[in-house]
Amino acid sequence: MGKFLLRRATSSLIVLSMSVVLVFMSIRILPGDPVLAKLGAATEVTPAALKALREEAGLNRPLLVQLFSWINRALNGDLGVSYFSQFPVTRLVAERIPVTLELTFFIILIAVVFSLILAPLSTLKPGSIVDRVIGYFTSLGLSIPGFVIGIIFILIFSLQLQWLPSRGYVPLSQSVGDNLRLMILPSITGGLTATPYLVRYLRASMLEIKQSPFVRTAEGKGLSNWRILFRHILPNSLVPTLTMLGLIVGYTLSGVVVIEYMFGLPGIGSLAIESSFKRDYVVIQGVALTIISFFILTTFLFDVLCGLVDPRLRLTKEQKSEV
Amino acid sequence: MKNALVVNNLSLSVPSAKGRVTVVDDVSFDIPAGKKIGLVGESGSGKSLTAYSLMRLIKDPVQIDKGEIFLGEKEILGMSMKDFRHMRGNDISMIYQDPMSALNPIMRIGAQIIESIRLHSDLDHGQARRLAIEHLASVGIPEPDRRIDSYPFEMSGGMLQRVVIAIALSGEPKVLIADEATTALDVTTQDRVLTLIDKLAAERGLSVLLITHDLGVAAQFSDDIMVMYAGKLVEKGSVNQIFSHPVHPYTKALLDSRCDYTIDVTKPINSIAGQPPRLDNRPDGCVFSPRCEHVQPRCREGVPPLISVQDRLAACFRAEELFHVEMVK
Repeated sequence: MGKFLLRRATSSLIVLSMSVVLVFMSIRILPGDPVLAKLGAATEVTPAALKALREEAGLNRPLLVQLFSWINRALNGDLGVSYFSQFPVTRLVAERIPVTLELTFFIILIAVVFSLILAPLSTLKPGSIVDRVIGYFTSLGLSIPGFVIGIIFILIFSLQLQWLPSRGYVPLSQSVGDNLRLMILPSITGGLTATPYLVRYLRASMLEIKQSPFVRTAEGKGLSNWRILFRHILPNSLVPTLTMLGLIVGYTLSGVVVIEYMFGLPGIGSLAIESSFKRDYVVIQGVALTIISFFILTTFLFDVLCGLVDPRLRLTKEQKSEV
Repeated sequence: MKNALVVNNLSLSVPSAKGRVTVVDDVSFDIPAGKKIGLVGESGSGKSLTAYSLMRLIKDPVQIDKGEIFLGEKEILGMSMKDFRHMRGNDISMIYQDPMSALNPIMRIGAQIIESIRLHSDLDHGQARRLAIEHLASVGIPEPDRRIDSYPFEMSGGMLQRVVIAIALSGEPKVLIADEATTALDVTTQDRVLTLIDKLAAERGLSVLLITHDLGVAAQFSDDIMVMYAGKLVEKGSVNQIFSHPVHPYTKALLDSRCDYTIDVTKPINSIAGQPPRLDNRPDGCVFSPRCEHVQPRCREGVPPLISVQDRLAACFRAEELFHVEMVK
């Protein structure tokens, strides 16, 4: 297991370094001059002053030197300073990331819980009424965009019934109850978009596993259908589904922008949108780096989870050739 | 002698473009307690489906149309699945064709045996584990107390088949079905596994149904042999009767097309002319009549019943006559 972790971690680090370079370069290649952007409407700047500002920011140095000094500072927890608010990027990200992480957590929780109930139910008897009803709902969920669901929810639960607030955020540390009340609608909105993918994937995977000879062996032992489903079929379907879930977590992390914006949640997605409008490159860079890091981290965690479920994945190449 | 298993008029069908077609046709046989019966036939003859019927493991789209199966005193096809589940693995169990895929790949083999033991007894986990180690030892797995924690991918095919056998025996069944149990293994391993099944069956007084397409395996292992062709049981007799003086033309043709190291390599290997009938185009009368060299007009009109001929059972109108021809030779 130690070797397996080491291998996974190494490949994650390689991906991370490549993305760091990519993020850095793409920001430099983008049109627009950060110095001019910072000066904004102030037109009476002499070329000499501009040059001085550029030198101060280190923008006249070769790209590679800039890259390494940026990485060096990033490793020390310094992602630069916003051109506009003058706040350190790390502080901006640190303020916003808990909101996004909490929202993502709830969305994935909803998706996982519903999938673990709905997928086994629909595979118990494929083609049954239960299976078909679940099929209709997942198709519906797949075809309605998240923002439409969100708007419908706001209309019904906030405006009509006035059960739940439609916008705003209260930190967990301030009031758990208020925080959760505000999280309900955004989480369900996101959950409803993520669940159908997972249900369908898990269902297909379970139906495939159901045909395996080892399932027949389990039946031949005299086990009950439920035990076969949860002890034999589900764990074996989990490996491909976990990989899929890892991707869904990643996409949710970066894709909750719309939900955050719709429900007025100050997450990292809203931060990305705000700084894009202002061309605050340093912040965008920091946000991109954060999202990428979390993406890679989740992929790594899900790889490890897969390894825990399926012992065959823990093998190295040499061990594989032995078997 | 008491019968451990009795099958009466079992028929199975599958759907096709022309409606349901019969794949197992009115098969009846019994297995006396403690006997080992070999069921031979080529692929598609319906022998595996017959075996799966005994475990009620027949799945859509295959269907059991009629028949009775008595396991001991109880008829199992009419039973509710819930009731039959208690007999599965307990009164009757099965060794499967491909040991590499017959075990759950992500579960330790010990857990897979313990699961079965605990289902059929009220032992706690520790006791079941000790029993599982004993089972592994009895099927000849070295270092069973260490191997019990192995995953299937860490073991060879021959070892895995021993594990499958251990699982099959963990419920202490009275009837054991071995469906092509040695087909996926290499020849030396095949022989060891077969010897093991033989030994365990003798020790426990099991009644065994051995399903195989390999006549050599059937001859080595069984007391009696049944021959199946195109869903029909065509001949049943002792190993000696079947191999020395077969009376059904199909059995005879099958034996003539055997090949092993004793054959004369300068001569071409015999084969049976033609193909087995397509499922949706079964001939009228005797199913073997289109390929039979002894065919007569009556063979195409009526289905020959499985009747006693010279002390064994055969389904051929000319069986008696052909037996004498054979003896004269």
